[in-house]
Amino acid sequence: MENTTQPLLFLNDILKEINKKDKLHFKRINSNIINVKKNFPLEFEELLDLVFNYYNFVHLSPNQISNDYLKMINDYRIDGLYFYKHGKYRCENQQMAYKNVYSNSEIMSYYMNALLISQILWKHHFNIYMYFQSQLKVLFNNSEKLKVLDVGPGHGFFSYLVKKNFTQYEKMDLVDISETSLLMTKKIIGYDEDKIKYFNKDIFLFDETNKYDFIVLGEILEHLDNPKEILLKLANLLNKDGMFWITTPTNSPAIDHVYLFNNKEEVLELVKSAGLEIVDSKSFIAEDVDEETANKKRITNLVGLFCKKK
Amino acid sequence: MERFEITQKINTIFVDVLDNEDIVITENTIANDVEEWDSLTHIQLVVAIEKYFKIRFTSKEIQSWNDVSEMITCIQEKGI
Repeated sequence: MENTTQPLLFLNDILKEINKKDKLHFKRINSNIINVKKNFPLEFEELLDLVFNYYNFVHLSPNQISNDYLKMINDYRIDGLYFYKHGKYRCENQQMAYKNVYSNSEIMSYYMNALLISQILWKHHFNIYMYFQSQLKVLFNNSEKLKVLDVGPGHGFFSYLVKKNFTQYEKMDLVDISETSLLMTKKIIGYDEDKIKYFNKDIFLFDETNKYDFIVLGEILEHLDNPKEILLKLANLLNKDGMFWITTPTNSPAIDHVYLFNNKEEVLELVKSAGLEIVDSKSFIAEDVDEETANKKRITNLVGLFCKKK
Repeated sequence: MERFEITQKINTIFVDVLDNEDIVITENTIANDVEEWDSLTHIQLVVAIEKYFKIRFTSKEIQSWNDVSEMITCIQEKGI
C-alpha cells in the first residue's frame, strides 16, 4: 500500500482536482511525479512537507491550489503560443512585467501559490534541487561557517537546502523586492536566532558592506532587461574565493519572463562576460529529449551553475 | 474539408511535431492514446495546425481539447 502521510494525501487531492479540470496537463505532471518519486523518494517527501506546511499555514484547500495552478498553466499556454509563433517572449521588458504581473495582487496571489506547487510537480525543477544538494557536498566542507546571500528566494528551497546541509553557517541574508514572496520564504525557511535575516528591498539598493561566501540567484536572470547588471553587482558582494549558484531557464515563455536565452551556451557566455568562471554546470530539460532536440524545438532547459570570480 | 481528410493532415502534423513516425491518428484518438501528447506538446501541435490551415484558435478553444474529434470540429468551425 502506498504511503499515506497527510502531505501525500493532500497532494493526491490536488492531483485529482487537476485531473478533473485539465486531463492533458495531469498526464504531464503525473509522469513527472512517478519519475521523481522513484528516483528521490525521501527528498520528494521532504520538499512536499515544506509545501504542505505552507499551504496549511495560509489555509489553502486542494481545490483552491489546483485552480491557482491551472490559471498559471493557462497563462503558460497563451505565452507559449505567442513564443512558438513569434520566437520571442510576449512580455517585452521589466516595466511590462511590473504593470501586468507584479503590481496586480490578484495575479501575484495565484502565481505565487502555483509556482510553489510546481517546484515538486515539474521534474526539471525537482532535479535541479537534487543536483544542487549533491554538488554542495562536493564543493564545500559541511563544517564551513558560510555567509550566505539569497537574492529573490521565492519559495526559498535552495537556501533551505543550504541551511540543512551546513548547520554551522554563520549567517543567511535573504533579499526580495516582493513582500508577498518574502512572506512565503519566511514561512518555508523560518528563523534561526539572529542568523537569518530577511530584507524586503531591491538588490540594487541593498547596501551590505560584508562579503558573502555563497550567493544564490535562482531563476532571476530571465526576469530582467539586463541580466549582466545583477551579476556584476553580486560579484562585488562575493568573497575572493566565494561561490555563486545561478539557475535560469532557456526557451521558457511565462507572463513575467523578459530575457530570452535560446540555449545553455548563451547562459554560460553571459556569466563569463560578467567576469565569472564556471566551476560546474548541469541542465535539466523539461521533456524527455536530448539537448539538441530541446534547442531545435525550443523546449525549456533549466540551467544550473556554480561559478567563482576569475 | 471532410473530417477524414483533416484527420490525415493532422496525422502528418502529429508525426512531425512529436517526432514519432509510428503515430497513427484517427478521429477516435484521445490524448491518452498518444504518449507524447501532453499539455506542453499540445501548444506546439496547435501552433503547427494553425500554421498549416492558416487559422487562429482562441485560448479557450485549445484549452478544452482532449481528443482528435474535438480538434477536427474546431478546425471545421473555422471554415476549413
